[in-house]
Amino acid sequence: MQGRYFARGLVDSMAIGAGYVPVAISFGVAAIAAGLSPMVVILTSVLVFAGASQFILIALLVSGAAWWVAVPAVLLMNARHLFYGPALYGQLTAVPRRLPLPAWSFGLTDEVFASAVAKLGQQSPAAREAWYVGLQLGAYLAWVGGTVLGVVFNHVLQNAPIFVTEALNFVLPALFLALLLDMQPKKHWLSLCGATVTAVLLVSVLPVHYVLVIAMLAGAVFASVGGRNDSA
Amino acid sequence: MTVHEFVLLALCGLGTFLLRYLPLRILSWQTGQRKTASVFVVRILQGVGPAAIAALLVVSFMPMLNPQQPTQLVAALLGATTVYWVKHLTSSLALAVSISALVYGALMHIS
Repeated sequence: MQGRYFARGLVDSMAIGAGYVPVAISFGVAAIAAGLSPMVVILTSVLVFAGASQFILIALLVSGAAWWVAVPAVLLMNARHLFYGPALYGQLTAVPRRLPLPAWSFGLTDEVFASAVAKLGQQSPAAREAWYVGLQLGAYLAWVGGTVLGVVFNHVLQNAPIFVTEALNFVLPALFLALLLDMQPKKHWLSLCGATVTAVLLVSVLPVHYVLVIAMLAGAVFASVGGRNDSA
Repeated sequence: MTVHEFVLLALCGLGTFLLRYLPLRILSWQTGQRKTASVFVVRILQGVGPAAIAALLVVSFMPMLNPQQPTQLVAALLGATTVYWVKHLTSSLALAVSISALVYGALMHIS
């Protein structure tokens, strides 16, 4: 039974994978072009698994940055992940936990978190843990697989048709919009408005990773101050 | 691969994992100790999820909504409209994402 829920999580991760594979391919191609060895590039995706910060890591590795410069830079970019686990914790503990906590947290990226927020509540309590692990694993495999493709086929992929590259650019925005529609926006209008207004105001003046943290907190504060259930 | 590269990757990987894991560990420990978070903290955590999706949507869409590049602006708006209607008609996340990406790619290609 748990295997079926796990498989459903893997299937649901395909929407994330559709967004991850092209970005991971770009990462692989860019890292090889920057002069890193294939082993380093693939190991980065295997060990770090954190999209945007990996692109920064390429630049830091190429420049020969010391660990005490590079590690804080990467962790600062990923600091928003601190909030993701606690936000999901209540839904995941609806039934007694079978898996150790590391299995819940290894793949908690922006897109996995967004998908879990939108769809975890639609799973039965008994299915949630297996579904969520399937979702994480599918996203992880798509990211690592995409990186391998970028490394192996980097000469071919640099010359892909414009139609394909443009379509792939739209996958992640489309995914976030579809997830937003999935989670009944009217029910969460306060936090959505707070985060949207804050992000729109800040996105042209601050780096994206700061904008995400500030907008998330602003939306959460709006929701907590405005009403118990943030409902219309 | 040099030792320096490996150590750097290992530290970045470990640090990122701990950012995801430690808050869960602390919450789990608090639950075991029967300590409960304040109502304010619970409300904040309930609001983080929807707010994160909205923030991710804004930062991924904004670069496409540039009035000085009207073709991209129109393609992005039509792509977003496609997401809405396909999601509304089919309830399928994968279909909404893939069809809208094809629409966007086609519009950018023919422009």
